[in-house]
Amino acid sequence: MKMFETRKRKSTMAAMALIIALGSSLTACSGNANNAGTGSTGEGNAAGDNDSVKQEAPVTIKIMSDFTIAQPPSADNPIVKEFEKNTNTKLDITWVSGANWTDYVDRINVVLSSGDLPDLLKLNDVTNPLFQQMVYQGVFWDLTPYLKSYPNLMTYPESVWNNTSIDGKNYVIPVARPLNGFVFTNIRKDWLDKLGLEVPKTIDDFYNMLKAFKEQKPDGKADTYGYTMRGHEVLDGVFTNSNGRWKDIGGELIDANFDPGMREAILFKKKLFDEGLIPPDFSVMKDSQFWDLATTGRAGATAETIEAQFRWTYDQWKRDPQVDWLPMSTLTYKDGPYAPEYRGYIGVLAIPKKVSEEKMKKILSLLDFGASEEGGTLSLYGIKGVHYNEENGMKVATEQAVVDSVGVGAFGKLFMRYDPYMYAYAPGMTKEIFDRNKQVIDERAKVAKPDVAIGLVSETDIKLGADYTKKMADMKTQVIMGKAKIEDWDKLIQDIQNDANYKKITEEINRAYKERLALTQ
Amino acid sequence: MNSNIAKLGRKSRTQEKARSRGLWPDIRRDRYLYLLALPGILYFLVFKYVPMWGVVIAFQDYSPYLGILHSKWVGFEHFIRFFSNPDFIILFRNTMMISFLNLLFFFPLPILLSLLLNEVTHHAFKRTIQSIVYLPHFLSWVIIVGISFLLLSQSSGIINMMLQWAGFASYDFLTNKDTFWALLTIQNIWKETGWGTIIILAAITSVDTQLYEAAKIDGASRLRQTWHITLPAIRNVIIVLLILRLGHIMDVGFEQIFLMMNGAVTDVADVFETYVYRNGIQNGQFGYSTAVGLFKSIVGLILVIIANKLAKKFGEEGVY
Repeated sequence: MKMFETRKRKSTMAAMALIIALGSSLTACSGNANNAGTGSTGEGNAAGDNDSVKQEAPVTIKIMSDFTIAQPPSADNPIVKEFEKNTNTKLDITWVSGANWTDYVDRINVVLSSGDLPDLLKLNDVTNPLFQQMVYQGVFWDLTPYLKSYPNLMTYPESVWNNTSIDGKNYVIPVARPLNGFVFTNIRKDWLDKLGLEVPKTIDDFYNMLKAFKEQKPDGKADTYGYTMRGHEVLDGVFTNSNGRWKDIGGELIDANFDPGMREAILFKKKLFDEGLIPPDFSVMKDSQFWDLATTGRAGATAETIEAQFRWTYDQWKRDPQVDWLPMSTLTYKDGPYAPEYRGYIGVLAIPKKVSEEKMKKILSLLDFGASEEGGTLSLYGIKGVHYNEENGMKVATEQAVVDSVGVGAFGKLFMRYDPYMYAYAPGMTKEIFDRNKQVIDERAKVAKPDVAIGLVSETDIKLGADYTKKMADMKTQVIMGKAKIEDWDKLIQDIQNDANYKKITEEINRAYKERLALTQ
Repeated sequence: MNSNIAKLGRKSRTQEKARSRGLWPDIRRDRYLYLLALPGILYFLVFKYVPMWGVVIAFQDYSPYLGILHSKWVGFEHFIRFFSNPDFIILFRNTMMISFLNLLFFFPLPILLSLLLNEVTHHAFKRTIQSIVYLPHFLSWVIIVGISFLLLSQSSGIINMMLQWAGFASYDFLTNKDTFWALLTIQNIWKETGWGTIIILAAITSVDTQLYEAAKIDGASRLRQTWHITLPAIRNVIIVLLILRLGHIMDVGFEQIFLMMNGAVTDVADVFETYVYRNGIQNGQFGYSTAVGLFKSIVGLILVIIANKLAKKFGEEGVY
């Protein structure tokens, strides 16, 4: 009986979708009239209100989003069906691989410049230069007046909304992520225990640990490096006691590269390089190679989010169940314990103006459903009994969850409920590890440094900034590898500090920073 | 007057008409030949000449949303910015050096290999070798760079592992500025030498065999035959290839360099193409990167014209 019902609904939905697709803009008026009742309430159709679902035509929404798992969700994915059922929509999602982030950004730029935009577009960030241009040309909806009616979306931290605004207005909906639990150093706790070492607190402890990993052969082999060098920019943060490219010194932003701490960070990494504590060709290594080192016992420290690190651990358990990767809470250089705070969103969603107001509201209510308890669970864990089972208060994923691409790798790039402990959990995790991770997150949250310049834009930086950034990054690599001297770095920094264009970049960023502070306080 | 002309023979009259009235009668007479050429002409019009107008964005502050018609005109601003950029010299040097090394070491190799293959008398053996040397051409750069990394990486590369077993220190092939250009050239030689022999071998087969027979009777050795008969006979082909190659002197192969580039070698690896990619695609500065591309094409065009003139001056045929 139930099956029969679903099937019937499916075919009506398909027929409706077809009609909408054929009529496209011509039917927009009548479509609006049909949906006006549900759209304007902002809540969309409440789940289970099946009669009204049957009567109204589901709205087709074209979406482009990214995924980072092996396979994108298929067209007949049950999670998609569930979302459609709950929001009376027909989702036409183009999943684009975001495994290589710069490739996805290239792809976004191509889509933006083609002008053929989907109804809902996932962008890397509001700072995307092309997107900014188009916002000023009025291509996208200003969502500021509408957002208030979507309570679940409003649970996202205020800083996230502020950081994704342009001139104080919200042209995008962030796809939320927790502020803590993101990429920081992770270490082999089982090796530390074997060598009788404490979990490092300071940079010196960290160095001694790496040295011990290399020299004292915790796994009985001599082929160990200390640190993979994956995400080694986190160490720059420790040394400069700041997060990201700009550091706030007394209300004034300066490039963190000009901070004396950065020089120390370079010298520290150079020491690691000279003593063979990092792979000699880290600058050419691909992500998979870093992971090869980390998961084959050839390195005892790496950097990743707490959640992703566990996925690797889980994989490694098949070969060695003793492996224990511990996410570090903090590291101290001079100014007390440091941990970086994440920007709190993995990307942003924009709706072009060519989408009608009613449909735009429909899209917002779809995202609002995704940010609700029900929708968020659906996105991250799937359907109870099919994709997960509850065991001592933890959701344990089934095989089917992998088959249907449940989780942060695909649906979580689009639909997300704000959960500060999201990064603490990954499928297969034991209760002890989950609790330990939550503790780490709490500890990080106490000191976490936010990136003060997220979402700030400087026109000159868009035009010329990339070259400076690249030059500095390349020089760092060269000094670390002994292919250039630290004096060369000093000279480069001095040149850039005196560069008229770079001064302009700094001025513009500071202006944007102050404007935002004025608008949001 | 007219009647006078009318008295002329029918045949000569039509010929006269065709000559004096220009193209149309000509087209009517050879309509099927022209019909055959039509797809080709259309192809060049639609895919080559029409898009060429896109270069006007080199003089615009181009925004994709406004399009070519509504974007602001900025004159030579992009060119001024490009030439006054201190990186211009580095990009120019890298591009020219990589191209020059390819010209010097890669360009003669297909000729040499063709001459060697030509001397092979065992037919099946020759065919097998030919097929084997063509193969690398069909591998994409992604695969070749991947193989290079597997072989040359310091932490897990086979060559460095062998060096270390043999008691030597590992060598930083991939991150060494001094050997980077050589590495690129060697990769290019490995990939394209075999493919390059196709045209040369075709040219060699067209050499009149009587010349070799005559030379043999005169007592010329294999080497002398090659030097005095084969090489002069294919000289024209070599020169045409050289001129065409000069036209591409600023194209050093984006994929290869982009994939091989890393922080340690950017000083020697950054070329116009990677620069255009970074500024155009990644930063959305379409106008500026088009200006850079236009500059590249103009340099190529000038070189082709000069090389062609020189070739003609020395009594060769050239490309046009």
